[in-house]
Amino acid sequence: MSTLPGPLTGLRVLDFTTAWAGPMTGRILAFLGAEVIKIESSKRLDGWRQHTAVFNPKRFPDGEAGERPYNRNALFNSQNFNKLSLTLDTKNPTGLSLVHRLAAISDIVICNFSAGTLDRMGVGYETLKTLKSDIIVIEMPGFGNSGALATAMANGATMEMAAGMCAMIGYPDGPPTTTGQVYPDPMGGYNGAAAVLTALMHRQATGEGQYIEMPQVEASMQFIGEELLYAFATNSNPQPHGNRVRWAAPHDAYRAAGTDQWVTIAVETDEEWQTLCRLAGFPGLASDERYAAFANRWDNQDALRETIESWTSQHSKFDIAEQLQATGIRAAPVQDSADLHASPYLKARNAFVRLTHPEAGTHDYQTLPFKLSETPGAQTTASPCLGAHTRQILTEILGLTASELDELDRSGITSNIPA
Amino acid sequence: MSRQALAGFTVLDLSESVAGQFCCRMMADFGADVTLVENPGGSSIRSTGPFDPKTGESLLFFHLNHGKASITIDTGSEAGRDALFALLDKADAVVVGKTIDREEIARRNPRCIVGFISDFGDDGPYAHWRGSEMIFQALSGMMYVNGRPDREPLYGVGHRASYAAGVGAYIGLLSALYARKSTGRGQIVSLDVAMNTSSMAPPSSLEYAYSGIRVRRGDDRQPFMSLKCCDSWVGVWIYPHTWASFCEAIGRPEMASDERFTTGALRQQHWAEATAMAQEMVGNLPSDDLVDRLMKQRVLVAKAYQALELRDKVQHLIDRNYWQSVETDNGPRTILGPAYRFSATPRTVRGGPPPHAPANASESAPANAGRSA
Repeated sequence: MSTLPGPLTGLRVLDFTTAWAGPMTGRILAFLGAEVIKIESSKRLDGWRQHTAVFNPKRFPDGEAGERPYNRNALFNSQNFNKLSLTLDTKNPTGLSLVHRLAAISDIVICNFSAGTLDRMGVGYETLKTLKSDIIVIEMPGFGNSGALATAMANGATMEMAAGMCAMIGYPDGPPTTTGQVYPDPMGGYNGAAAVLTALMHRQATGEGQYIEMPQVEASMQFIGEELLYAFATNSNPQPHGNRVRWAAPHDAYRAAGTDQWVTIAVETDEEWQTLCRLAGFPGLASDERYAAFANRWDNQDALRETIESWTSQHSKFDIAEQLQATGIRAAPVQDSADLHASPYLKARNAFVRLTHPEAGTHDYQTLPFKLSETPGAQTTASPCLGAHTRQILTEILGLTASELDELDRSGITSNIPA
Repeated sequence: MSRQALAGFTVLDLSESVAGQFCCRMMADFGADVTLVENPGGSSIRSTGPFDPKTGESLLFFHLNHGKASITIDTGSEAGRDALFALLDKADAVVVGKTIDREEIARRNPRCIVGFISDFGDDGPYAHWRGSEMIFQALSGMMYVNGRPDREPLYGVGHRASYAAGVGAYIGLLSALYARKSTGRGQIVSLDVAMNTSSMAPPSSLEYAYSGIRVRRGDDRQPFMSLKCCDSWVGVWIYPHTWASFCEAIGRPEMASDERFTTGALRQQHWAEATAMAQEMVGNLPSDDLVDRLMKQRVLVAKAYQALELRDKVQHLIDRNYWQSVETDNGPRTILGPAYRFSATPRTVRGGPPPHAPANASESAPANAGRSA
């Protein structure tokens, strides 16, 4: 059905996912050209459609839920581009048999429910490989399929805690801090796609499919590998220390002009420090021995906040960053969501694509950063309304008749309205 | 040795970046023959911290390069350039940064996948900018939401944006390798760390496009709660259907019917009070007890593990044989377990990172890998 010009064109993916990490894995494969069929039960929607959640106006076009809020939620609509939406009640034997028929002509199955859910649904790897011998199945449990925490539930926030990250992040003596709202979620999205591609390369070379366990906490831990190894080498735990780093000082976010506006500045060398003092008009500081040499400056960096902010607070965060970067000093505005949409850099990278969603209207959506020169992939279609492609998929791919489709609707096995 | 997913692929790592070296290390993890190409002074990552205080080794270099071979090439000399081109002509994939002419590689070896990873690309308004973890996080929209509303935003830790970009590049390179079977041709795969980071930012960017409402730092922490036990911090995520179970588990069941907390909207409004009341109950508890109690009630919870605890005490990781080790010139060193566990093609690490061989065109295998270079 899909004819996107991507490197994975011709592959079919069944997507049993919810919230962020799993849907993002499917989104990446769809961006790269695979036909991704998102399967939801009308009795259990993707959690990011937030069918039963407290209404939060920030998540809806013009702040309005509309008649079908599950089709208008920014959360769901941020991660399901290019996908086809199929509703099937897999607890019903007829629904399950339809999933089996689809699996028999699919290449990949992705799932980020808790460990063992695919088996309980009757679509585990051992079952599916009898239907399609070279199928690739990935499950993305928080902690893994084995071990003391195998049955523990997880989400991005608790995974960042469990991966050892949060304990390294925070104000001095403050609580461990979660980041990016739930940073391990998109990490899981990427890791899921990377794992699937690895298995695809093996299948292309040998014809053999396989099962992938992608434990999200363990995969995320790779991203702080050197910090963990340093703790082991020194036999001591890293302590939260605000924005400090080993290699630069000062290295922090400073107040810029406006309300809650911040600019980050990273001074790596003594020469950069002299340049900063000249640009900012701190002649006294340039020769102050508390700051002139790196080691002293590092020890005394917290005392610099007031002086640096006496300069930064007078200027826009964008201007300061431009000015410092022009002299070779690393600096950047701390951008909020509105700034992202106005960013000249992201605009030059075509980081946003304008898409029209049938129930949410026309908006600019962030796209993915992989740029392939010959088989580029693309984000061309807004996230699907619930069940938007049910009839199309069951007719064109499985060859069901109109009367069979009507019967599925009557019995509630397919439905584009949440139960 | 079991079969390897990327067996038979030859990869050159000329990236000189955390993102590029991580991308190539993943390829080595899953079976590609990866060679780190170093100048006579050695990769700059060898002199980037953190360092092992006993041996002086860069632990960043170790983590990014185990399982790779190394070759030293002085690309400033004619002989060096010839040696490099000879390698490039045989490579399936090459990862480079801004200083190498990627078009020339693509012309010489049209079947090669050329990965180009840089902070901001070599065109566009920030082409001259310098990046680092805090810079990427600041620009991405992520840093803005980290921390307290009355204080400076926090960037995070380490090089997570660069690692993520490494995975992004791995996705791009593998998909291009996959397509090569049908197209018969290589291609150039480009990725900016800065754009990659913003692609992972929270959906608040779309929320703003939808509603015009900006999420502020510190807003919206409900339903997440950090609680300090007598020995450690614990993070709890309380869905509406687990609120009563949470109150029960902390020994304050009457909180569930407290009129300040009966609906999600009310809890949102009174979250600081709810957190303070829960904190009173758990301050003297060992964190493992609280985690056990909450897990029994199916409340989403995790301890804020410390690094040493992850190595020595977390039974789950011990059960799973998570920590492994490789040989290095200084003896065995711990490595992290595999990111992905494949039933047919599990990760096999060939050895520690390659020692630096300073002479031109000299090669070294992964440390103590027991194979010929």
